[in-house]
Amino acid sequence: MQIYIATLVIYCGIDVLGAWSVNLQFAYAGVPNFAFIVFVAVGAYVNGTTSLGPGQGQTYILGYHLPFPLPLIAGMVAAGFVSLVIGVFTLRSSLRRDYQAAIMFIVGVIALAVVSTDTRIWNGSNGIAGIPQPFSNSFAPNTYNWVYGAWVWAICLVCYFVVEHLCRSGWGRGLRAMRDNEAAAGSIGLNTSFLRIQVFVIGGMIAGLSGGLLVDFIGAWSPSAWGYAETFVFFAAIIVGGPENNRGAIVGTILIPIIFTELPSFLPEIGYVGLKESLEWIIIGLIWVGFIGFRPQGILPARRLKVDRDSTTGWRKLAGVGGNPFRERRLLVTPPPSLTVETSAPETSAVATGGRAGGARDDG
Amino acid sequence: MRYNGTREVSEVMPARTAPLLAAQAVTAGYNGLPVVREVGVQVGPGETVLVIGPNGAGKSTLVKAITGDLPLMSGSIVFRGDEVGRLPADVRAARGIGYVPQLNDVFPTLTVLENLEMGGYRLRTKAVRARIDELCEQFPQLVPLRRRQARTLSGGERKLVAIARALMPQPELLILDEPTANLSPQVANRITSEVIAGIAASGGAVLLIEQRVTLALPVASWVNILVAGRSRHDAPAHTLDAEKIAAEFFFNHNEDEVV
Amino acid sequence: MHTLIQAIGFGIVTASLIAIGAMGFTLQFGLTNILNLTYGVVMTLGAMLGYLVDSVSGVNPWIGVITGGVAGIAATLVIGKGIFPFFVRRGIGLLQVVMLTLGLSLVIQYTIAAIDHGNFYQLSFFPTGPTYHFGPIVITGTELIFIGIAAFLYLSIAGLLHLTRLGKALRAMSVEPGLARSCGIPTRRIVNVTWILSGMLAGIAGIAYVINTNTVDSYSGNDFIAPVLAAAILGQSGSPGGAVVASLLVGCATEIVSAYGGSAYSTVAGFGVLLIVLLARPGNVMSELTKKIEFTV
Repeated sequence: MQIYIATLVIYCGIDVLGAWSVNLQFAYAGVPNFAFIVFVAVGAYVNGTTSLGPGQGQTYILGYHLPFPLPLIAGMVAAGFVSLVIGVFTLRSSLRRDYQAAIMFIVGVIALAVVSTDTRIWNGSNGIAGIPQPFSNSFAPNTYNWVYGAWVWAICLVCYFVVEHLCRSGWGRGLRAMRDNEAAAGSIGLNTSFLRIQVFVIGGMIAGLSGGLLVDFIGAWSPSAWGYAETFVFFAAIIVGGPENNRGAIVGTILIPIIFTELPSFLPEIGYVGLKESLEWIIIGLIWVGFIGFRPQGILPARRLKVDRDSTTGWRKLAGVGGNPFRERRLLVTPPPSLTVETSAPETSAVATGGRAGGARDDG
Repeated sequence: MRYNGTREVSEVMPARTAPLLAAQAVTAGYNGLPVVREVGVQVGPGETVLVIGPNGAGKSTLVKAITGDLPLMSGSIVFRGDEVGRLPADVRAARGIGYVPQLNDVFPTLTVLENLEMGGYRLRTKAVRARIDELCEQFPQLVPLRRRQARTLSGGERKLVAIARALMPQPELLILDEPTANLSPQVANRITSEVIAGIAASGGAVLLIEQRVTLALPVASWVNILVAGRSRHDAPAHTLDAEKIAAEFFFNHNEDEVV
Repeated sequence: MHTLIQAIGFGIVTASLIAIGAMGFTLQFGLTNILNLTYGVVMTLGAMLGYLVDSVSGVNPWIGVITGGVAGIAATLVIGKGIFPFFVRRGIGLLQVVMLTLGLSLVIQYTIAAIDHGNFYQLSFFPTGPTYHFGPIVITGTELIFIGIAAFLYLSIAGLLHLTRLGKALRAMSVEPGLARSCGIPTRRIVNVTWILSGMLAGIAGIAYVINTNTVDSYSGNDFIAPVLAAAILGQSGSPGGAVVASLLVGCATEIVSAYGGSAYSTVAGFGVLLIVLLARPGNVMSELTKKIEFTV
């Protein structure tokens, strides 16, 4: 039992990393990465094949045998590189967001098909196995899981600070500007194409890290572990926990990937074997639809940002309507008095300019 | 004269013909914020009513409230004696309110002929043919354009197609929202002095939103001035001087006006 | 050269199967602006119900095609009239609606799996018919019939869209729904017609696609929808002709790469065509992109 809880702690940490990556790419930047799990897989595969060494009845590229943290880093870098290549070709400003989503979806389907059929890359549908657990020799089996859990969560802690810092910085504001109104963001000098690639690569690296940590623990990895439903799990964690909120991502991860996918194994089998799994997915899907329809801000909504009233620029309040990030956003901006053309009451001019200047309309 | 926007039309105005369209105390806007407040407009049969005002005054919003593209927050819109304020846009269109929007005024991927056919969707097939022929006679510039896709047309040609499309079902009232926007001065002049004046001359009622006051005033019989969402002035066209309107109405605000 | 022409022949066959689905998708997408990822699952339903009817009753397998079409219509109407309007009325965003359809397709997919125990089915009851040779091109009777079906469907739809009043109204609504309302066009009727038409195409496409792959299970939806999505995005949204041309490009690219490079990369080829064309095309003007995209349901 103890070992099982330790395992859950490990999975939770790994999934939290994935959730932050999706949060960054999708909730903050509006990049619809429906092929998310592919990048986790790249991290896992590269980590695996650079620590496994060559041969042993499986065919794959990159059969190296590098010492401990190097394969993990290699996995991250590889995932980042693949993100770069895919992102440059598929995420164009000239494409509607839903086209981008569809294309990423197709990328996911194709990546799965290619890796499954071309066995030279990563041993096809059998996948690779026998990946050594790092530093396992030093610990007894009972304590190893806890040690590994501590390792995973140490990484999560570092990652949390990095991601939170990024999100609260000017770069993070740029992401949100790009998400809300790309044309307006471009017109104030943000290079949205570059920004998009940046967030895609950074998110991809975090995903690769997550995959690497997972495969170090499980020791094997195959296409059955990264179907399109897996991407879905991460998105569901974000939707439920609260998009644009990294702590919400933790809540969502505990709820969806951990409770919903691990708990049913405690329950007795209903009907035939396998029915439980189908029901599980149906319920996750319904929860997803329910949250999108009725509580798009998730359990922990995005936090409002307040700019100091006494700041030198004189802006009184720059507020996102934090309660419902999926509805139309109104950016209520009251310009400094010197810019008002009509000398009528400020409320009227805000009303009059709000519609015309466009504010920040959410186009998706 | 300064108004605070809410007053009985009959007590101040000289007598007008029984209105075809009577919009009273209309309040409408976007996302819960009102843009026009308590504005009234009347158009009688054969009248050409001009609504002018500076940018952001709410002219397009008023028009959209009348045509049904925007829901009414409060007020009433009576057309031919019936309250239409709660009816959807396509029902109002079927009752005889024709509308030429400022943007999105034609179907870009359809040919000019198909655009006209769409305008006459509610007519019977033979009537559609007949109306198209009539409109081609009335606007001979349309004839060589018939098979061209609407998006390949120039601004002036496009606006002509838009107006012709709106005229297909012979609406009692034609509403035009800034028809001369983005058009060159010559074309703008032709649209107002030929097309719109022609419609008025043949007895049609027109509600015209315009920014080009000097161009539009000569063809109007009545003027309604909108500033910052409220009606500022409402008088026969001949009482106003095009040159002085902006100075007199657009910039002076009543400081203690209740917002 | 021989291989190339033969591959093109296979490509045309594949294209005809993709085209049926792509035409349905682009009609739906052009009008509603909803990138409906449940389309793949509807295709699966069409294929499975067609199989069910044929294997249980043992009648003429073409009855299965009709059943598939009917199943597609029913499923699409439930989703399109029952589910989408609810969310659209509440003001759902562009990406959120895609995610909604993703979630719905997950639910439906696993409901099917729950009911049929995740089995897969082999549609081997379709007689392949005699094999014909046109030069190096090898083609079976059934494949020829499906090319014929695809061509017939295309001509019917093109005729509907360009020669009938209803079809022109559909095109008008796809491009300017607000203006269409001002013209008094009966928007609800047109939306219903679109759902019915695209649902029928999805159902038939599902069965048609399985002719190629031979097996179908509840998870086939994703593989079904990938080339359909690619073709529909490649051709202009709302244009069945564009969908057909795009299907030809995707189909031929897939088969040519398969002939020379092995089947693993054939799907990449189809996608590669999509990407190349998308990159080469002059991008949408920013002003077009910032225009608020409305859903018509």
